[in-house]
Amino acid sequence: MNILVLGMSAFAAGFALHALLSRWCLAWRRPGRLLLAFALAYAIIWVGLWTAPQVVSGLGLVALTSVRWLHLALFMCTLLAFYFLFYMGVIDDSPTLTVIRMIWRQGAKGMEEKHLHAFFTDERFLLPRLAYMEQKGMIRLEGGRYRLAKGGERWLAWLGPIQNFTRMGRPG
Amino acid sequence: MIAPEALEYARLANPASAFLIYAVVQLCALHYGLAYVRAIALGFLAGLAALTLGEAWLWVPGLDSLALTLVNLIIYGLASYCFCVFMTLNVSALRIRIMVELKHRPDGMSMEELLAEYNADAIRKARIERLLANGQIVCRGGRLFLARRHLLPLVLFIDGLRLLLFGKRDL
Repeated sequence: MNILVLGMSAFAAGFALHALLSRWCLAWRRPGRLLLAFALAYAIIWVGLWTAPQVVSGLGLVALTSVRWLHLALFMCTLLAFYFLFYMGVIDDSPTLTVIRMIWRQGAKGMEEKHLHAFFTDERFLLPRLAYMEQKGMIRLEGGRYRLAKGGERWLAWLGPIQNFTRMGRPG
Repeated sequence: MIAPEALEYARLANPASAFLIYAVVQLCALHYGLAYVRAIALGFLAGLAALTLGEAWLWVPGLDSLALTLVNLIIYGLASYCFCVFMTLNVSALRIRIMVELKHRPDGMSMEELLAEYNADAIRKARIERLLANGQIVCRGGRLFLARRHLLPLVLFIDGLRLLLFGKRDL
């Protein structure tokens, strides 16, 4: 019971801190800052539990053994990884969910496909991604042509074995 | 009879090993040509079966054991979600696709060539076709309507989260 209660409490604390900071300052909406907010909340709870184990027993929970500390750490990390990936979907519009949202908002009268044109533009989809990839050194622009840069090669070196094994991600 | 500490370690290892089974089954299913969604489902069910068997074997009557089973189910479910997202990136993420395309073209691509392959119109058409094909939306009299509503709770949840975190639904 202690792992469930403590893990969910730590996650709730991290979420509350992140929500508070996101409302307060735009910079905290960046995914990297999310990790920082959670790391801060997790560290406070972790150190608190470590230095004052009587808090755990005060909550009516069994004291944590070393293996339970590991289990709690695994639980907290999984919750954070899930929320981090989910948050990326929250700030990055998923095209599929956007289509569903736009049609739903039109209600019973439905929606003409041409209304989607305003959302699906190259300025929203392709150009910001190219700019980001160039800025991060994944691609480079030389003589008016985009080429794979060192950063991109490193990415593909990580993903390549999986793509080759599963036969996914080939162009065309 | 398993020693109590060994039992605790086994409970800790159970979701991790179930997740490994999920990942290996999904990767092998894709390698042998199973469709993407089916490979995910097959892997997830295989891992879930392993997790359930493990939990049943290691079960000790009591509330604490029940809570630990719930924790392990959550760990397995969320770790599987993360792996699934990671694998989907390999298939559909525009950035990855562009990098793979550029890797196969040593002379590079101009903006016009990139736009010819990855323009917003193509993305929109592909999404609409997919949503029409799997019955999420229907087209009647030239207008699009929502046919199935099972993605709607996710849309509303994301809108709610945006409202909570940013104070507005549309970014």
